[in-house]
Amino acid sequence: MLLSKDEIASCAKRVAASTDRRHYNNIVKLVSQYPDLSQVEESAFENDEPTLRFLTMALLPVFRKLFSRGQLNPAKAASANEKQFSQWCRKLYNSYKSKLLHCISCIPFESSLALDCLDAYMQLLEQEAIHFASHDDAPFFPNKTLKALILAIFKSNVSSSVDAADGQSKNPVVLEFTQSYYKKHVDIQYYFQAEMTALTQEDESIKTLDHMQLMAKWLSIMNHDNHYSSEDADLEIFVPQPPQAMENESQFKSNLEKNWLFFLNLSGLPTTHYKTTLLILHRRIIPHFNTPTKLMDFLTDSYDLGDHVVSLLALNGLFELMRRYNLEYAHFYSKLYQLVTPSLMHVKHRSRFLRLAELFLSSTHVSANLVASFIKRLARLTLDSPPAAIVSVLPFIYNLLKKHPTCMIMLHDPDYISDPFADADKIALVKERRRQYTDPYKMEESNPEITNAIESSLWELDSLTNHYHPNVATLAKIFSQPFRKHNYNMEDFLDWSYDSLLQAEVTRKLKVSPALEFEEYGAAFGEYIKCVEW
Amino acid sequence: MAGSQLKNLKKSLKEQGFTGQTNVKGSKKGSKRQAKEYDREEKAQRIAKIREQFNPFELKVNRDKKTTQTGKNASLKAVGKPGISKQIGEERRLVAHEAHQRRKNRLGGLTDRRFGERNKNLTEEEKMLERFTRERQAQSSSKKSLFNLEDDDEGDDFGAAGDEDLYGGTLTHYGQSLALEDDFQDDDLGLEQSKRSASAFDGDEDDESRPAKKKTKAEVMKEVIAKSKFYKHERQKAQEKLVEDIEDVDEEFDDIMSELSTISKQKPKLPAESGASDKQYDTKVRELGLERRAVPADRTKTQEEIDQENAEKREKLEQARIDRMNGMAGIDVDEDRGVEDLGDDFWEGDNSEEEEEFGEHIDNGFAMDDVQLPGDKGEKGRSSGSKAVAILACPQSQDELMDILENHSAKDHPSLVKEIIRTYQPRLAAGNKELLGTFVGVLLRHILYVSNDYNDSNAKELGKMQNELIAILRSMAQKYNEPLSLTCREISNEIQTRFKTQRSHGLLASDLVFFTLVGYIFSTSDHYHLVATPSNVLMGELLEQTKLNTFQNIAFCAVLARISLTYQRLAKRFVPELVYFFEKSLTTLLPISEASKLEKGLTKVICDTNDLKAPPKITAKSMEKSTLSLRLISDQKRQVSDSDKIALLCNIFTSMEEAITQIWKDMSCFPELAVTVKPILMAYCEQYPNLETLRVIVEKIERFEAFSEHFPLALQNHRPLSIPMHTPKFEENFNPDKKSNDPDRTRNEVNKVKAQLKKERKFTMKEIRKDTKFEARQQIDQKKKEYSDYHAKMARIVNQISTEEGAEKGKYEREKRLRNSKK
Repeated sequence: MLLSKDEIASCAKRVAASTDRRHYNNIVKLVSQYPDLSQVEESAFENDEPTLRFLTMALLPVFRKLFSRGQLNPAKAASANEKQFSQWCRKLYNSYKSKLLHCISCIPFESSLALDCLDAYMQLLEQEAIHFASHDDAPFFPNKTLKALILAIFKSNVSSSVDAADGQSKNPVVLEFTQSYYKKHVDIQYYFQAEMTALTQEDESIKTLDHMQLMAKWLSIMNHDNHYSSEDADLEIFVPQPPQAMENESQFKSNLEKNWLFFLNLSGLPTTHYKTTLLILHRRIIPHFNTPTKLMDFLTDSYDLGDHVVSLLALNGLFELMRRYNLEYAHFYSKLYQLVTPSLMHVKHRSRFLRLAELFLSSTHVSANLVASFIKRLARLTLDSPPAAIVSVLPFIYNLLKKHPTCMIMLHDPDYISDPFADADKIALVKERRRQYTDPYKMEESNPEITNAIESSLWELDSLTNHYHPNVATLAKIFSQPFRKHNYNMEDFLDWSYDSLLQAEVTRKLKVSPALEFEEYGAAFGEYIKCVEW
Repeated sequence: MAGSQLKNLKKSLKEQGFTGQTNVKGSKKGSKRQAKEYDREEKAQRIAKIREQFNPFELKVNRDKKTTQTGKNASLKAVGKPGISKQIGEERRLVAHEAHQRRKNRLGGLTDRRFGERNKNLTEEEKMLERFTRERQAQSSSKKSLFNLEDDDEGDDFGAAGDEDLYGGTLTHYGQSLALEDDFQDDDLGLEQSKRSASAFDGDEDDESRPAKKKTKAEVMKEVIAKSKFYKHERQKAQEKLVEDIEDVDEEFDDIMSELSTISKQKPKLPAESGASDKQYDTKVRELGLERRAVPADRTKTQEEIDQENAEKREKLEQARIDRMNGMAGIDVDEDRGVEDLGDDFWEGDNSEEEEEFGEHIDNGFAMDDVQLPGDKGEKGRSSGSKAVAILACPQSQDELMDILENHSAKDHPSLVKEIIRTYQPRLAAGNKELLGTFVGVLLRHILYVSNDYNDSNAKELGKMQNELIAILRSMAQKYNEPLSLTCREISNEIQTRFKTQRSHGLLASDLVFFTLVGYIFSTSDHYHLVATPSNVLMGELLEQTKLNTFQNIAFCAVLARISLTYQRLAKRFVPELVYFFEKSLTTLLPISEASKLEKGLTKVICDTNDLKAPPKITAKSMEKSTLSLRLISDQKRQVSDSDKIALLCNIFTSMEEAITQIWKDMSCFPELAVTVKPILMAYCEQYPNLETLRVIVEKIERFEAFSEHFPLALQNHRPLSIPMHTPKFEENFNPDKKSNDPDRTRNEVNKVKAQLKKERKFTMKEIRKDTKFEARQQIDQKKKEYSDYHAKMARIVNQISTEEGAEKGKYEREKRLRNSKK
């Protein structure tokens, strides 16, 4: 069974206090104390945990001592005897490391031991960097050690650690690694990405792990602003003498890029991961890429997922790529157009859509046909939408019309004005035109360039002047008034809802007593409201 | 003037003879003329003149910048003499100050305004004359004195004469005034004639002076003489005639006076006679005049008149409604005033009209329901009520009302409620109005509460009771509009919060009743309505967001759709949520599989459930019934039969038809709406080929589509805007000398007055400042004078004392010496 704390303390002290090599066998005893944790029960583990934590912490100064005594580096050994001893020590050390990694990777629940192991392991990493260098003060980074740690971290499988909302991992080991080491230290970032690339490109074992967990961990490690290649990064070095190679930024970027693409290509990811990724795409991913256009495939895939919000965000990413990185994406606007569905008016992310659509359509070089299609389709959708949606769509259309005056023909077609003072021929002509007119708009057409919307007209908006809500009706009247206002600020109109509309009514003062109905209708049900009875 | 200042001074002194050799000759002659007092004065004056001449600050010349080169205007230059004007101002101030000083510390008192009292230049005779004329003038200006005989002839209207007759003031003969003397007097003085002749003379003068040719002096004089002679002659003739007339009248005077004396004896007696006997009668008459019943009652109107009046009233109300519907701003003001009025004659109205008005309302409310209330109200109600009155307290919460109604059968509830209302009529006690105000809200809540626990067994009875209660509520709404509106708002808030927290599970049948009542009581066609608009929004929310996954929910929304349509029956406003509900509910109920829906393109709207399909076949018999019952909604666990589903479907179709024929068909986007609805209808047609309503709808849609002209809009057909012109306008007669070239006359005037005001103000401020400075100076002077006076006085006293002392001392010394010498 396990040793008690006192025994551990005395063993460790004996090794640390004197250079007497006879005590070194105690180390073997101590290291072998670690049990196999892969099948451990949480309740059983609770008893052992303090001892194990103590053990870990006790062994750490022991190995520190060995480092300072130079007994872990066989290459530096003076004699053959010494070398053999060093090799023995090194073996011991390696087994300690593997025990630590075992603790990190195998405990299937949250535990302090894993965190302690992580800390200890990182300290050992620092020691290795100092003492395993080819000679004193030579730059060295123990990348193999880091690689083992990375693998351990990614293997660690704490149950229900994935956040349902944003799909990031809440695994404490991952968080601790990110918080204390990855986010702060530039060399760790560099070598982490390098080793990660090695793992993903060469090692197949990582692909066998749960994809969702992998992505979750990756996201929680990467979702911050303090990156190696960020301009205003505030970073330190972890090891005292990192190698020169670390300064190669493009290498870092290409590693990062490869890693991102690897993770993004994992199959079977839930939409939350897509959503989180797309949300951080602009600020935290694209700037660190050598060639951001490589994200195109991912974005197209996200669009095709079928989720409205994700599709929209994907389009946002694509738009960024097109705007900044000259991505050619022919179907962008038709994809955007396909997002304008009847359900758009009844869902919450409508305001987000309109915000982005305003951005996408803000270019004056977009063809009039296309803008007209958007206008017409949105107008058509207002026919069965709540007042909040109408209120947000109307200024949007106004702004579009203002920006693309060619589309004004949809509101005002002078060919169809009958002038009572014109001569008979003209009147007859106009009459004939009116009679022969049929609406050529194709609602079902998915390509906005060929919907013929520009030849149609916005009767829907005209009808909205008859809306039951007085404010909506008044707002709809802007289309029959001169277009004097330069632009409507969309933000004032996007966030209305039934709630806020009613709230506005409740706070209104009862200045005038409401008018009463003066007609008599007989019984309330049956006569006043027909076809309904008590 | 050429030369230096000094030279000029010397020269002028010499000219005046102050310097140099003066009177060379005279001195040689050795004239003995001595400088006398007046010479010295003259000399001083001359010196002052010279001094003034040479003081550069005594004259101030406005320098004209523009016209210096012409030089000819030099004499016209404005010259100010600041020293002199200052002097004048000083003097005026001194005078005013002195006057003020004199009046100082003298409160009240009399100012002698008698004419010439202190004036020594006037003789006693002149003074009297002047005073007399002034008195006369004052009298003539105040014409309205009661006993002014001279004015009576002007007031020749009989009313005035009669009035004075009562008091025995003026004498008349056969209704004509006897104030002959006055006419006579006027003629006597020849005033009238002289005036007339003067005017004639003026006229002549005018005529003659018109020609441009100027007369010589001699001619003028000759003319004047001739004229004066002519007038003198004329006057003499008039005088003679007057004298003759006077003599005639004098002769007849005695006769007239004798006649007058006989008449005047009777007249003063009249008022005394009537006063004593008829005073009582007069007071009676007066009392009767004030009596309320004496006012003639309105004529009983004929049926036609009543009808016409009603029609007019309705027309007026309808006009007001239309105005409100169109959102005319004016109506608000009117209504506002109406409310204020109501506040003003609040008690008055209660006292007199409350009873009748209220009764009338109840009558109206029940005439439709054919309850025998009119009779009931008169006797039975009173007798049965009088017992209950003592017990019933006006319920101020729903629990209290429930306590009262608990022990009675549902049949009696309306009469109990009526009893409460009658007992607490505002005219009976103060504070009743507030109590009833709260009660109206309680009643509304009670109606809603009752509508939640319906079941099949008591439906009929409860329905009848509810209808009666609703009729009562409606009749109360007029008077207690505000508390009712407030309660409505509260309830709509409650519904909304309930819907927000429990979503579709929070729907109650009472919500439908509430919306119905809002439409039933308030005018729903208004452009904006404080109660109806929030209800509309809330209904929209319910229609749009209710999950159509149970039969009850769909039925709820179907009824809501009916209510919404009823709201819009007059205003015909468009409710997009209704379209949404139709699409969604019909798609949900459509009894075909997903695959065939996809085939027909009906997957646009996402359905909440797939288990609510209508039966695949509808028999001709069952399809006629489209009435939904509120019980269906309130009962969540109820087993839904196929016939219920068919009824629901038919109900939705009926609503849809109504929406199409009443509202949609007039809208310019009718074809677009048809496009959205048509596929669903076609699918139904395929399913139920023999459903009558469906066929009618489809036919109607097709017909309306064919008839409505659908062509592009021309919304921006505005009058072309004039572009503001920015080139300056050329002024034809621009004058740089003019102070203002403003073409606007009134603005010009205003600016002028403003400038004047500013100037005056400045001037006045300056004057005030000068005045205060002057006052201060005067005060200092006065103080100085006082001090010096005091010191002089003290010195004099001291002197006096010391002299006295010296004298006494000398006396004493002398005495002493004398005594010593005696020794």
